[in-house]
Amino acid sequence: MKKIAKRSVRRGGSRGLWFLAPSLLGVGYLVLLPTGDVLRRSFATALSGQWAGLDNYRRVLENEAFRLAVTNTLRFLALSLPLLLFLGLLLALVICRVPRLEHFKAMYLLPMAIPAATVVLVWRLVFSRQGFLNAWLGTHVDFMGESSSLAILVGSYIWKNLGYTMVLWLAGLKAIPAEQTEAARVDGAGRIRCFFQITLPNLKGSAYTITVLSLLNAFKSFREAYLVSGAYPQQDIYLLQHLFQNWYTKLDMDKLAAGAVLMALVLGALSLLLQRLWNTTDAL
Amino acid sequence: MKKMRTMMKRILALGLVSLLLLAGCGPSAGAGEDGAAGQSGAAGSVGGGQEAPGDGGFEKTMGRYMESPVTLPEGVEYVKDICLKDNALEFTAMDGTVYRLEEQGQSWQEISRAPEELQYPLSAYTMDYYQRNQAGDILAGYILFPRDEEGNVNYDTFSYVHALFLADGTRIAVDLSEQEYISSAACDGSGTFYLGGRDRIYRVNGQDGSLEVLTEFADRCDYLSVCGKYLVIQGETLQFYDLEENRMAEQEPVLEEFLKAWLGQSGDIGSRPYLLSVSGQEDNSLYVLTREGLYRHVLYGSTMEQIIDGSLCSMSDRAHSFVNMLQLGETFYVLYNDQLKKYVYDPGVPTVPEHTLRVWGLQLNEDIQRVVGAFAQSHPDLYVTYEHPLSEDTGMTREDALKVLSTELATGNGPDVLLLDDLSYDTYAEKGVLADLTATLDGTGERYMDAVRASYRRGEGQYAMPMSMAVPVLMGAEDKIQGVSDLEQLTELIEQSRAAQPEGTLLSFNRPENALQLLAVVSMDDWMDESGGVDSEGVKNFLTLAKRIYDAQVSGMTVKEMEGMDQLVGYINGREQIWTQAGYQVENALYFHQPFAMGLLNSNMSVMGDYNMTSEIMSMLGMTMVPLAGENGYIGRAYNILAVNEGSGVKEQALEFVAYALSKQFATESYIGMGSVNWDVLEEQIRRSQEDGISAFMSFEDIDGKPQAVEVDNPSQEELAALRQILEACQGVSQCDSRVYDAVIETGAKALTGEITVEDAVKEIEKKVSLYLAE
Repeated sequence: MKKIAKRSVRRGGSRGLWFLAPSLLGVGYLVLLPTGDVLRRSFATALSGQWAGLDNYRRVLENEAFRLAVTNTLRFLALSLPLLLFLGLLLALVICRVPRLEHFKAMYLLPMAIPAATVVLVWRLVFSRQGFLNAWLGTHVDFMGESSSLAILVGSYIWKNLGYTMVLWLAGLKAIPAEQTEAARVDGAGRIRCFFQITLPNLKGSAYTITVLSLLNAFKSFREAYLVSGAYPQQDIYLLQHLFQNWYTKLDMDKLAAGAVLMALVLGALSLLLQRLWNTTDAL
Repeated sequence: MKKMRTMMKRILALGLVSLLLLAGCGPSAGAGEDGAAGQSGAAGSVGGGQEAPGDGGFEKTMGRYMESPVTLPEGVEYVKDICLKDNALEFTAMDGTVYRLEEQGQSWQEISRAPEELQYPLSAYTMDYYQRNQAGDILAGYILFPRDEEGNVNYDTFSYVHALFLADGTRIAVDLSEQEYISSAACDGSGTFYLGGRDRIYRVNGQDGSLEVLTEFADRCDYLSVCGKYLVIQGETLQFYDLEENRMAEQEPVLEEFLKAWLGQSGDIGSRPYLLSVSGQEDNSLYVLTREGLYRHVLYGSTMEQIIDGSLCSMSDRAHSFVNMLQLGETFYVLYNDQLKKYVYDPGVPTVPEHTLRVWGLQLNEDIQRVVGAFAQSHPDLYVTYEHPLSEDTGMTREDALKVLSTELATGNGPDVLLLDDLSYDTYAEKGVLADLTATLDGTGERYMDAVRASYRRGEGQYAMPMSMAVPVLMGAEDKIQGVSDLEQLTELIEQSRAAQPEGTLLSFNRPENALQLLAVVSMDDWMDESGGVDSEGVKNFLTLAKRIYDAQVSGMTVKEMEGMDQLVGYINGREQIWTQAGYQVENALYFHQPFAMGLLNSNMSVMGDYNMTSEIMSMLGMTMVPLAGENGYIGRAYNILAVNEGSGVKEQALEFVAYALSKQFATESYIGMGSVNWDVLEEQIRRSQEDGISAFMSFEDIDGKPQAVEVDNPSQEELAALRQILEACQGVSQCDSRVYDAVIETGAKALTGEITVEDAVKEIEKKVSLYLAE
């Protein structure tokens, strides 16, 4: 009897491998292989592929454009992410209180359905020298060519993702058992106390997912910035993607690979840090 | 049995999975061809030196029409028209002499000469149309300038003449008013002539010259040709007139659809297809000649059959416009504006050449296109393609095109020859992408300009070489411009002239960006320092002087001059290369009666070449020229910068291509739009122009409505010596980065109009390019 069971498990395992093989092959070919190639190129010269040691990393870290792009990207993330998460949650809480607003849930996702090219057209109509905003203010400013460009980029990112983030928060809020809040209210807890003691701790799981998704969406804002200002935008919205693209067109594959590895390391570390932070608060 | 079924199922499942994987992950057929010209598509995914289709285990398809020039009788350089008579080819030379091809194409026999009345219009290029029928009758329309008693031509007035010259010597005036514009003439197999007017088609009565209006229409007629019983009227649309039924025939949807991209492009003769019938062949079948090749179509049939692939011969070369085409037996004769070529079917040659040589540039460049055409003809084993992604209707941006190029170069599938105009030479040279041209250029034995070669030397190698260059010059009265050698002295001269002449234009510009483009030719090399950064002092100095010149210029311009200048700018439509040409600028001096002109002088010695035109008008205006130098010395500007991909699979042929583009051979056989960097080319052009003599004529009305005529003759020995001296003085060609240049022109314009200060403009320029340079 024991022998039969063991055989059955082994046969099941082998069958599973067959089913996994196509996706494993795909991941290996489309993800792992290119990643390995990027890693290899980061230690080699641009096109000849000769061993360059850490020279590419040194050049990247000393590169002024790279430093500026990193600073701008971090600044953009530091401004837009917390603002988006906070506003999304605030809106979700308001909608929770006014159930009638929930009927328009699909409408909140509308900005995500608008193509980047259309958004860019609106930007140009509004923010250019001859745009509506200048007409309204009676000024003659190229808002995308000034330091205001960062604010416009952050605003655009929030406008586009707010509805989606709010819907995600709403799902998290709906998942909190109503009994918990009701019991607390019976015990005399006020709304604010209920929010901090019950709602917020229960949203921790959703918060991690929403933060990661928002972080990924933040990198998509490059499309708008690129379509408005091309490869060399106003300095404040010169992001890492601009730099990587320009390196690519200049055939700086060595710097590009080293920069990509550094970015992957930072993102990986950030992701681990977030996870650890969550786990720590969970333990508390 | 059960085991067997299970096994079969597993094999089937595995096969399905493999198929899905292959279908999903495999490269698509067109991968890597983005940005490639249409022709490369025909050659499959063609990387450097890869074998074109037909190889790789498949049997080669054989047979192709091979192109060759037709040797003309001695002393005849250009052909006016060709026709068939008694199943023999006849051509009319530019002087009106008619020759017949005899002894099975081996020799030419002179048949007749043009009537005396037509000799001058033919030689002076004032002929509007000239049509000869099989009987030898000629229908011609031309501009007639009156002559005084001493035989001198008076260009102040002219009249239009339309006449029929019968083979027996009779002259019959054609009953057409002077105001009637005739765009095209044709004749049918019986020798009857037809004329295409502005809005009507005429049949010419060969007895008395009277005209019968065949049809009137709202559309214009650009070309007329006869196909069997139909008169083909080509304009905005394609219309057919039935000569037997004497009425308009039905539309021809297949042909119209095929030609829709070209129909109505009356302004661009070089890119228009020529539509014609072939006498003696199948009735109602016509041949359509386009840049893509030669097609056969049976009228009201459903197909367009390609007979000759245009990319493999001169047909794709936009420098040659189509004049006429005939079929004699199995041979096609095509008359281009500058040469007569024949196409003979060779069953022993592969239909598609075995190897591909890819030439790549951001924009279409007519000089390079000519090199491609000529090189392809002399290399029937090579499929030479020319890709220019930004000129094609792909909607591709500069960045997109560069990304595609980077991908191809990084994967080893890059183009074989690169045209580096508007690209950073150092970017590609530093990465090791480009092959060293030193040995190739040294090996040709031809004398290239040392200063130009030195500008492209990096370390021990030279990785690019321009085909052409031009140098900045100032033109004006000798006593005024003597001693002016840089921008500072030019500024003082212009300011002094404005003080002495408060009204009237001094140079040719009224818009700040045009002023900057023109003045930049002197000092753009001073805008970058040795480390590759922006030289703020150099830019500031330039903008300060440019603003002073601009202010002095526009302060005295009249409204009429402003409007005239706006018209010029509209005509130029952003073509900076033309705007900055010395020849174009000195033409403007003649038009506006301005005392000075400046621009980039090139040594083009062709009929209407820059130097011939410049020296002719200068001599008319009593001007002389002096070189204008910048801080870095007397620096010119390079054009058509060629380089070879180090990783090319046909590197030898690619190097040969570059050497050929720069060679005396190419310049002799074809035409270069700008002055060559090869001294041997210049000397050969001078020798030929002295031998052949140059005679060209140009007339226009100046800003006051007064007729101006320029008869371009050979430059004198003194003028040629001055040209050599100026070219020899050149110390190199500018290496200013195109992004820095664009930033200076764009932002500098604001400084010139006073929108911002020069200091702020310099800061803005630095800011604009700082990211680009920091990367």
